[in-house]
Amino acid sequence: MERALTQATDLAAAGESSRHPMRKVLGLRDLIPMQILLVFGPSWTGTAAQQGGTQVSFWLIGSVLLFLPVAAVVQYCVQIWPYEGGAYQMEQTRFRPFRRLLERMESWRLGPFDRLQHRCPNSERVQLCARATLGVDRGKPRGPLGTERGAVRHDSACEHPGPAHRTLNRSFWNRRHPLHRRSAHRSAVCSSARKSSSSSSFSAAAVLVAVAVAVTDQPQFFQQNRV
Amino acid sequence: MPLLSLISLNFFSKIAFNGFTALEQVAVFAGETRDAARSIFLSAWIVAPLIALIYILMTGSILSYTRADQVDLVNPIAQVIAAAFGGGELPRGSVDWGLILGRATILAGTLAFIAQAAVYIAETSRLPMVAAWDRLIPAWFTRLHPRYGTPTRSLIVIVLLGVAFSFLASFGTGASEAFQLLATSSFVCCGVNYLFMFAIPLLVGTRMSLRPDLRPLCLSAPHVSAEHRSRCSR
Repeated sequence: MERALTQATDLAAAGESSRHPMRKVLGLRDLIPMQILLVFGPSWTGTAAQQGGTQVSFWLIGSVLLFLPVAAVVQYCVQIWPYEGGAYQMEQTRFRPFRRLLERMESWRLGPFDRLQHRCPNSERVQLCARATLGVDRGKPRGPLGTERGAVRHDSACEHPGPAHRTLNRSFWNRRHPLHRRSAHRSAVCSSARKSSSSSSFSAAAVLVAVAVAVTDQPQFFQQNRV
Repeated sequence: MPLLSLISLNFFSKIAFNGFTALEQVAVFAGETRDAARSIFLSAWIVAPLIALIYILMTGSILSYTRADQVDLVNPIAQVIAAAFGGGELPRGSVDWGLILGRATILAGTLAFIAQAAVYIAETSRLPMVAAWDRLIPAWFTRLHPRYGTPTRSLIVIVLLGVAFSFLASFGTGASEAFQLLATSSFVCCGVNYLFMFAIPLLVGTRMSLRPDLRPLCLSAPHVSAEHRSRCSR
């Protein structure tokens, strides 16, 4: 099983390293002191010391209820996504559908052609999807997005085949939406998608700042109650 | 054992969340680690008991020299060093080992703080680079140093941001308030991050695992139909 795991993670890591030129220089000996430096915060020992003799119980319960579960989750996620970026990559990979959902809320207002583009967030994929829809690559072998095979990276972001092959009647679509109107429409949709994505990010940031400001009186609470 | 009350629960969540998180941060360097999955897995399980032991011993040493109600929350290390190595009359001509040990401890602590800050900056600087790979921010952040392979531009931006936040948090406040403001803000963001991270294996993560045995348990059960397996493994 360990061999299968190593092979799987090596494959994933090889795919990652082929895209981005990071040097693999760190080993277990580097990671252990880094973990200690990242996790250990000496000021919390003072807070624990205020509890007197019960501090040992607090530390042990904390390590069982939080530390070990965190270690388990990190182990689990790193085995699947051993990529540079850590938790960002894990969450970004898994919750991309959620982001796509936010973008789609905008796209339902704008029409089916836009939905095709929202399934391909990168500009390169937007271009490839557009080529597929316009029939530029007609007759060539098809990849996951209806383009030339091998032109698109086969990863989780490309898991949707695109609606051009399933739902859209292409001749009806071409009659109803001429090319020049589609190009203008496409750029409008792209900017709209960018705006909706940015606005959701700014909203999330604003909520975080508001929460951070709201809880800053927490120290006074602790000082008053001598916790 | 501590009494179970709202105050003790509040205190427990404070020290557990603040003291025992950040194990996942070393995963940021996964792209620069040889055999990343195995190395990070081993380091996490080696470090977990070590950290718990360090916390228990350190808190015990503070309590050996200081009463529980007189502990300095902002800098307990300096307080315990002063209590342990300071004071005391010595005969003329004898070596003050307490003074030497105290200074050595302060020097070691300073070096540890510098190393901690360096690791934090190195870790944080990888995030703009990765976000730029995904085209969330300009590709300017992805430039690596030609010799060392470090994201120099991300590093510069993160250092400047860190300095700016330190100054902003200190305006019109004392050390304690600035510390609490920065710590609370960062831990709120960290809490949101943890919510998402724990949601991965609990809710959605297993469906796309590279290993079939990491996918949901129902898939490996013999009674599950082939159609369901193929649908789940897609």
